[in-house]
Amino acid sequence: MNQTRTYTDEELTAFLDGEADDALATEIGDALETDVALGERLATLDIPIAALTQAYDALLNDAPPMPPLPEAVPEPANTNRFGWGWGVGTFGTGLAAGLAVALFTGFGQPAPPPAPGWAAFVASYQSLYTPETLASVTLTQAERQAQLQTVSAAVGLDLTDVPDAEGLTLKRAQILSFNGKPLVQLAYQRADGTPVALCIIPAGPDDKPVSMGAAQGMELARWNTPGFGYILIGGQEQAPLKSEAQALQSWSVGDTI
Amino acid sequence: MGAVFPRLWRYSVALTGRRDWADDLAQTTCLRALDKADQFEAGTHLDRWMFRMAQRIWLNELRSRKVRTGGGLVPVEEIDLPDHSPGAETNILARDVLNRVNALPEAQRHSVFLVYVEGYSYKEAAEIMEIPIGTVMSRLAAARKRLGEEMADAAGQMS
Repeated sequence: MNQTRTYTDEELTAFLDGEADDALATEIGDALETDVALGERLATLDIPIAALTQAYDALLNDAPPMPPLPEAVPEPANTNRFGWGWGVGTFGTGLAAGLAVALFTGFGQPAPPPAPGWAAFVASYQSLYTPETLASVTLTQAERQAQLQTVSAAVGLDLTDVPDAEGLTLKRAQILSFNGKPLVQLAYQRADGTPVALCIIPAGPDDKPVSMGAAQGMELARWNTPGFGYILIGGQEQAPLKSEAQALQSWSVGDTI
Repeated sequence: MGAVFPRLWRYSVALTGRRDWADDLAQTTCLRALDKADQFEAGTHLDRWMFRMAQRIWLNELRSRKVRTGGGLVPVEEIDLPDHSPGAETNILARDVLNRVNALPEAQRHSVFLVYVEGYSYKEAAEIMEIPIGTVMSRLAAARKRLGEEMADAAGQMS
């Protein structure tokens, strides 16, 4: 009496997954009472989901710890020890306040800690660069100017005459974002291929001279001009980075006066 | 983000088919999430946002490079489970199912993971993978059919 139509595998799958709409679920449920072949098809599609879940749950226990990115970085005492980037609370309403504290207390210290706030972000990002990353990139003069004009407009600082200091070659100028602030990344490469980045972000009003540090296994130099913070990062040797930083700092001071 | 990370890593295993690649993908996804933190809408689901990001990074950026440098996809044995518990029947079945799922075509494996392991609805999984719901359904149906037939064959050979 029951004229059963042929159901597709998709319909039967939706039925098994509880995703079939009420009409289809009722129809299949009714048909199963009389249609043996349908029952056999359904049995073929029925897989041991519980065992699969169990297997993947075991895998969950094997997850490595969070990447050792900002955790390796000392933070100002008034932020949590995992820093600005990795607490769940940093997303959402706490984000702006938390990051602002990290950013400005970092710049407000008499002796800047090795890499607070945005420096940790910059270091993590830079750690992904290898000599191959930018090896094939060559900017024409026109492209260089266009990119520099774009980032200058975004950050509010004229960077169009930024020099290729100390033998660095500019490979790319791009705008990133940190806590809603524009963050300029000028990606350079040394003659030996070492990637070096100059990063610039709006910051407090105080000048700060070049100070050297390290983050993510790379050398790092930072300084401030009124309104902007600078970080130069890359390589494992301090001497070349220091002379590059000093040259760029001289340029940046001239630029903002 | 710390609370989501283990699941993000596990999803990365499901995406890439390998633990070491999952390490890279999960880390890259975290960095990208920091980069785009200002685009995250408070009150929405962080896990789905990050899963979608991981999926995009894998398909658009890392997969081709990994396959080129790594010589191919999915050596199944590399995802094998840690053997912490005694070899109970359920554990043997779990291991068997896991290996069979890992051997599925990539797109089917992703759908199976999101719906059956993570428990997302078809609609939610479709949004994470950025594909139509109907495609999720057909991938799941194909996966169920293949797994069901394989397991029936295996059971037939043992009896």
